[in-house]
Amino acid sequence: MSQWTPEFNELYTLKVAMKSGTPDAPTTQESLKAVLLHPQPLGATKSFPAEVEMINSKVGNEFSHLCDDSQKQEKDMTGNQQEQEKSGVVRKKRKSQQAGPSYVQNCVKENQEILGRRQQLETPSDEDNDSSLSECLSSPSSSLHFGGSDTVTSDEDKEVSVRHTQPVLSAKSRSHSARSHKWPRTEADPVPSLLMKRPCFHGSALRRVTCRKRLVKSSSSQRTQKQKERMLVQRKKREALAQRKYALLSSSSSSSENDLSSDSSSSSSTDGEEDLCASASENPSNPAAPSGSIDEDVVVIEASFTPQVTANEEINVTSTDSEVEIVTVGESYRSRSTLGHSRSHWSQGSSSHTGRPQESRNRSRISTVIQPLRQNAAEVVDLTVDEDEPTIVPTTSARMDSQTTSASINNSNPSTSEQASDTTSTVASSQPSTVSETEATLTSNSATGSSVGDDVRRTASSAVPESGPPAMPRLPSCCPQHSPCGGTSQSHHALAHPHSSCFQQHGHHFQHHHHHHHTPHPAVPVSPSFSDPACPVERPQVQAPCGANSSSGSSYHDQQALPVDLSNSALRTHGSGGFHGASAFDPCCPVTSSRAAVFGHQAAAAPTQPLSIDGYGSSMVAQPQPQPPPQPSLSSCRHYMPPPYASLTRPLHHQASACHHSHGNAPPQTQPPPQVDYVIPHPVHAFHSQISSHAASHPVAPPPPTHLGSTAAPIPQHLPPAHQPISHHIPAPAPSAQRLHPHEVMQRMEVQRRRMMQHPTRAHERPPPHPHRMHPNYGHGHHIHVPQTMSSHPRQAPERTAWELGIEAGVTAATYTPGALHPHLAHYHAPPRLHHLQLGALPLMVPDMAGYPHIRYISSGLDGASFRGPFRGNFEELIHLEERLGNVNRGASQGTIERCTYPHKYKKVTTDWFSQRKLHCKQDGEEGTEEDTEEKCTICLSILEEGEDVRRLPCMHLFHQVCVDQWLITNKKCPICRVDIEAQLPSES
Amino acid sequence: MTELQSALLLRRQLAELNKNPVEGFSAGLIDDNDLYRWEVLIIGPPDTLYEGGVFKAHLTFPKDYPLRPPKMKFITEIWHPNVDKNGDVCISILHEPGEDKYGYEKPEERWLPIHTVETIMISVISMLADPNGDSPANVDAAKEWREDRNGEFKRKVARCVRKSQETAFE
Repeated sequence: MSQWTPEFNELYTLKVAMKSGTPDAPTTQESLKAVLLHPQPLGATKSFPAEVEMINSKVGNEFSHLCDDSQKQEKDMTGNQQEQEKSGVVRKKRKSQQAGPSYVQNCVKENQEILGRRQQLETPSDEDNDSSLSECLSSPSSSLHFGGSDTVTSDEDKEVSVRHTQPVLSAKSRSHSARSHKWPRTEADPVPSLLMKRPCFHGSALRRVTCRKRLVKSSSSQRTQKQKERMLVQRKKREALAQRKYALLSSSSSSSENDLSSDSSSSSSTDGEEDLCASASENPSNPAAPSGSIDEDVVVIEASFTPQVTANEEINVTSTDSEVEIVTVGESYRSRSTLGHSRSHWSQGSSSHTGRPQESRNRSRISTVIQPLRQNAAEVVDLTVDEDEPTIVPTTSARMDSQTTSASINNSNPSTSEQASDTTSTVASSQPSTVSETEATLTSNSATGSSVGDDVRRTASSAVPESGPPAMPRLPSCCPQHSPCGGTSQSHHALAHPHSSCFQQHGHHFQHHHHHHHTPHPAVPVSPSFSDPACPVERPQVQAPCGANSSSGSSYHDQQALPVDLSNSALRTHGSGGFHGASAFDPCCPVTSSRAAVFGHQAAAAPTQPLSIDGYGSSMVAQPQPQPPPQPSLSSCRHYMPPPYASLTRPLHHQASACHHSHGNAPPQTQPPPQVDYVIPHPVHAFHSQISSHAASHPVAPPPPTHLGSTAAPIPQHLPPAHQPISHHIPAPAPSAQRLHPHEVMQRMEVQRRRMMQHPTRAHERPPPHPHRMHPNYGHGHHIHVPQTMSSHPRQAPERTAWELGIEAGVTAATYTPGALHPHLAHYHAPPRLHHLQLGALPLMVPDMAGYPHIRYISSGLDGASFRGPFRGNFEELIHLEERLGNVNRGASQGTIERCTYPHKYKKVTTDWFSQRKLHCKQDGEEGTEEDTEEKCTICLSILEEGEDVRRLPCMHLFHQVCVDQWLITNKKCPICRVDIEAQLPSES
Repeated sequence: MTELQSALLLRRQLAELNKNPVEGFSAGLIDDNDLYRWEVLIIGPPDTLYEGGVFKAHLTFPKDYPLRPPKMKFITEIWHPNVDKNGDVCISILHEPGEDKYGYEKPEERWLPIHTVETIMISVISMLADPNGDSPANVDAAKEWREDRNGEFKRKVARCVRKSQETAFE
C-alpha cells in the first residue's frame, strides 16, 4: 500500500485544484509534469513491464489483481486508443470556453454534482473490464479483426497474405513462437496494417480515418522522437501538423497492394461512419471536403467550432435541460475513450516492448491538444486535459453505448461549456472513487472469497433495474434534490448516498454494464438465421426460474435505457415535467409495424455470408433507420451472450434479494411499476439459448451443475434449428483452440478468482435493489418508447441510428468475434462448474460429520444390545456367570500373594539352651517334647523343617508355600484366622 | 503332588487318632487300601436326646483335600433337622468356601483347609446337641423339632437311638 501513496497524493492535489475553480498556470504545469514523470520509478522497482506498471499506478490495487500477460496487453490497447478518442472530444470543449467566464459558477456547482455520480460510476467499471477481458481471452486473436465470417478457408487465405506481404511482422511472430500462449495473438499483429492500407482506395471519409491511424502506426525512430516530444509541452500547432505529415509518409512507404476480404472492408467502413458522426453530425457538407489530408484536419477543427455557438444560445432557454445534459455528456466522454483505446492497441500488437513507445506517442498528442488551449481557452480546460491521464485505464466497451445515447442528445442541444465541466468533474471524481475502491478491496480481502463474491454479483445484477425509476423523478424536482447532493462530501457519494438522485447515477453506470452484451451484433452476419427460430422461444421464457428472470430484467433494462434518455429530450422540447404512463403506449400501431420491418430486414440479409456482410454495411450507410439499432442487438444478444457470465449473473439475483430485505430504509420506487416490468423476461432467452447451443456443439464437455442443468433442460427442445448454424463456426477456430487450451484454462481460472475478489467492493457502495415482477406485455412494451423518440426528433433520428450502428460495429470488430467463442466455451465453463461442485461438497461433508458420532453411538448401542441380548433370555446362564464372578473376586492372584506375604526359607531359632534341651529330649526319647518345640503347617499337619520354603501371612501365621498358595488362590483369607491378606497390607508396610 | 499331599495328610491324621483317641467318636478306614474313605462311630452326646445311641457314618474325602471339604453320610438311621432322610449331613464347615447359594450361611463359617477329621467330628457332635433350624435338610424333622420338641420329635429320636443300639455292634 505504501507504494501507491505518492500517486494518491498527486490525485488529491489535482482534485483540490479542481474544487477551487480558479487554478493557476504554474500549478497546472507542475501537476502535469508530476503525473507524467512519477510512474516511471514505480515501473523500475517492479517486475511488470513499464507500460502495465503505469496503468496500475494510476488505477490502484484493484486492477493490479487482474495482472496477467494477456490482460496487460489488452489494457495497453485500451489505454492507447482512449488517447486517440480523447483528442477529438477535447477539441470541441476547447472552443466552448470562448463563450465567456460568466458560466464559471454554474460549472463549479455542476462539478460537485457530477463528482458524486462519477465516483459511483467508477465502481462497475471493474466488472465491465473483467467481462470484456474474459471475452478477449476466450476468442482466438487470429480472427478478431475479420468480423463474423470465421471459416477455415478465410483464415488460411489471410495467413498466407499476411506472411507474404509482411516480412517484418512475420519475423515478430517467429520471435514469439517459443511462447505458445502468445502465438495466436502474434498472428493478429500484421492484420491492422492491411486494414489501414485498404482505405487509400476509398472516399474522403475513409482517408480521414487513415490519417489518424497512421499516427498510431509508425517506425521505431518516430517513436523515439515522440518520447522526446513528451517532455516538450510548449510545441506549436504547426509542428504537430508537421508530425502528422511525417507519419503519413512513413506509413505510405510501407504500403503495398493486397487483396482483403469483405470483412475488413466492412469494419473499415464502420470506423468511417463513426468518425463522421463524432466529428460533424451537424455539418453534412464535411464528407465532401477536399481530398488533401492536411486540409481535412483543418476542416475538422473549424467545423467543430460552429455548433457550439448554437449550444450556447440554447443554454439560456432552460436550466433543467442543461443539467440533464451534464450527466449524459460526462458518461459519453469516458465511453468514447474506451473504444478508441481498444482499437488502437489491437492494431499495435501484443508486445509490451511495443506498448511503451505507444504511450509516449499518446502523450505527445495530448501536448498537441494542450497548445491551442493555452492560446485560446481558460485554465479550467488545461486542468481537464491534464487530469485525463489518470482516467485512461478504467474503461470498458460498455460505456461506448452510453456515449451513443448522449452523443445524440448533444446533437439536439449541444452545450460545450457543460461538456467541459462534465469532463472536468468526471476526472476529478474518479480519484476519490479510486481510493475508496482500493480501501473496499482491502476490506473485502479479509472476507471469505467465494461466498462474498456470489453475494456481490447478485447485488450487482439485481441493482440494475434501478436504471429506469431513478431517471424519471429527477426532471420535475431537480433543483431541491440537487442541493442536498452538492452539500454532501465526495467520499459519501462513493459510499452510495441514499438520495434518489444518486440512484440515477447507479442506473447510468449499470447501463454501461449491460450495454456490453449488445456489442456483438454488427459482427454477426448469421444472426438472422438465429433470430427466426428464436421468436417462439421468447414466450416460454416467461416461466423461467426466478434467478433467470432477474438477470434477464437487468439486461433488458439497459436496452430500455435508450428510450428513457431520448424521452428526456422529448420532455425538454415540450417543457413538461410529467412522465407518460406505460398504458398510453400499449395500443400504438407503429410499434407492431416497426418490429415487422426489423425482422424483414434481417431475413433479407440471410442468404449467404458475404451477401449478409455487404447488406449490413449498405444498410448502415445507405438506409439508416430508427428501428434497426435496438432490435438487431437484442437478437444477437440472445445467441452470443457468454454463458459463463450468464451462469454467474443468475445466482447474483438470489443473494441480492436477501440484501434488499436486510436494508430497512429501502428507497421508494418513484416510477410506475409497469414501466420496470416491461424489461423483465426478454434476455432470459439469451442466457438459455447460449447455454443450450454450447451444450449441443460440445457434447464432450462435462455436464453442467444441477442448478444450471435444470434451467437449460427445456431449451434444446425449442432451438433445434439454431444448432446447425453454430456448427458451421466450429471448425475454423479449432486449431487455434488446441494451441490455447493449456494456458487459456489457467488464465480463466485466475480471472474467475479475481472477479470474486473484486465483487465485494461494489456491495459496500451500492444501495439495495428493487425486486422485479413479470408483466404479460413485455414484448410489446419494449417498442413503446421508440416511436415517441422518432416523433419528437424526426430530423435527427436517421443520423442517430447510423451513429449507434457505427459505434456498435466498431466495438464488436475490436473486441469480440461471436463465432470464434464456441470452441472455448467448454473451457470457459470450467470455473463456474468447479465453483458449484465445491459448494456441493460442503453440504455433503456436513452429514458425514454429523453421522459419524451417531454411527458410533449406534454401534456402541449394538454392542450393548449384543452383550445383553442372549443373557436376558437365559436365567440359568446368568446365575452361572454370577457364581463365576464371585469366585474370581474371592481369590487372589499370585502377584498379590507375593506382594502381601513374606516368602522365605524356614530357619529354626537356635540357642545353647534350646540345643541342650533338644539333645536331652532325644536321649529321653519323648516325642511330646519334640512337638512342643517344633512348628507345624496346620494345613498339611507336617512339621516345618529347616530350609523348607515357607510363607508368612500378614497375620504372622506360617505355612508351607505350597500348602497356602493353593488355598489363597481360591480364598485370600488366612486359613487360621480368616484375615484378608490384602487388608493387612497397610499395617505391614 | 496334590494327591500325594492329601494321602500323606490323611495317613498322618489316621495315625494320630489311633494314638490319641478322642472321646465321643472313633475313626478308621473302611478298606485299608483306600485312604479317602473313612468310617466313624459317633457316641450320642450325654444330656441330649441322642444319649446312649451309637451312630455309624462314612466320610468321603476329595483328592484335593484339604482345599475342599469331605462329604459325610450317616449309615444308621437318625432323626435330625440337619441330616437328610438319606443320611447326608448338612453343616456349614462341610460346604465349599464361597457365598451360600441359599443365603443362610456366612462365608466365614464355611470350610477351611486347617480342618481335620477331629475338628469335623467335634462339629457334628455339637450339631446333634444343638440343631440349626434355619437351614434344615430334613424339613419334617425341623418342623417337629420346632413345634413339638418334647413330643413327636422326642419319640422319633428315641426310636432311632434304640435301633442304633441294637445294630451298633453287629
